[in-house]
Amino acid sequence: MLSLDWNLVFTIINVLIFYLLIKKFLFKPINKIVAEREKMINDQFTEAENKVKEAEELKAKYQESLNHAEEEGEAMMKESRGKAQDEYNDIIKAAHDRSTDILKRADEAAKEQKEKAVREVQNQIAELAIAAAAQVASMQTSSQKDGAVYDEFLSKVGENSDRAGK
Amino acid sequence: MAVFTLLCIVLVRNLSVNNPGKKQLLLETAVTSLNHMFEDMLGENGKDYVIYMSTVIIYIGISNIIGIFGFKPPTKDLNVTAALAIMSILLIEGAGVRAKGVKKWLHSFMEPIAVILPINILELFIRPLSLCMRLFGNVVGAFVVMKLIEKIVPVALPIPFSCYFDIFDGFIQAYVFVFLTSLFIKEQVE
Repeated sequence: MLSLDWNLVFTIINVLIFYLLIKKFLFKPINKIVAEREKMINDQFTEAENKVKEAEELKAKYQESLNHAEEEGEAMMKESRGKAQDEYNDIIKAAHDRSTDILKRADEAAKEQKEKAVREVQNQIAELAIAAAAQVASMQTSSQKDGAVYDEFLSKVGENSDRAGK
Repeated sequence: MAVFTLLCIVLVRNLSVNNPGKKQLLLETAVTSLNHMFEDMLGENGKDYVIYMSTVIIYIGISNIIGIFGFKPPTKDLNVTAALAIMSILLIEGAGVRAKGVKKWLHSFMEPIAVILPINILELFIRPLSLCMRLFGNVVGAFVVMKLIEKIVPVALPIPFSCYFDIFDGFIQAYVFVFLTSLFIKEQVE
């Protein structure tokens, strides 16, 4: 039992053959498959990472543009508000101007009217005076009649001034 | 052996990357776990020897448990274990030569000091002898004990003993054999 013979060599050859067979049929294909799968998984991981990075970049970009848009909107709002304020001021000022103008004109018209009335009264007074003078001149002056003439004159003047005063 | 090879060919025939079936998953798990085991044992420099070590562990494992099916285990024959041990020592020293070059490899016999040169040379023969005899002794012992038990009580009793001597001891010895071989290879390539 404890002796070596040719069986030893056969065993070596057998093991070597077995080694080659197992290498060709078991380990090579399976290792290949496993490596391929590993590669695929790694690829997917890198791809996913890239995608995440890309998405983050896009997000940042959008955020920025959003901020920008907000700022722009605010500026626009401010600008339009300023414009509206200006317009409002203009309108108010124009209205004010116009109203002062109208008032001034009304004032002037009233003044003119008054002056005109005064002038008329003066004219009438002058006329009366002339008439009175004519009457005095036309009449034979007598001391008796003097009183009557005064009375008449006075009453006429009073009537006229009353009328003019109105 | 032929059966195993045929099984491999049949199982490996239609592998796919994307949707592996149950058989493929099982096969892949087995292969990758073997790979990892030997990569751990052999270290970074000994990756080339992984497939050989896997082959040997499968060969010895099958040889040892074949007793269950009523065959005589081939490892019971001293020639087989001796052959395996000789191949192992050749591989170990070959790995040393390949990793270090002939000069450095020869020099490594005198390390760490020159005095132990004869011991190191002796080790060259002791290592395969111990590998060979350990495996042989274990298998023969288990075989003889099993035969005796079967002779005394042929019914029921052999089952637990068979579980121990054929399966447990068989795999342990296969593992020890490749473990020691990988250890020596690792020692050589570092």
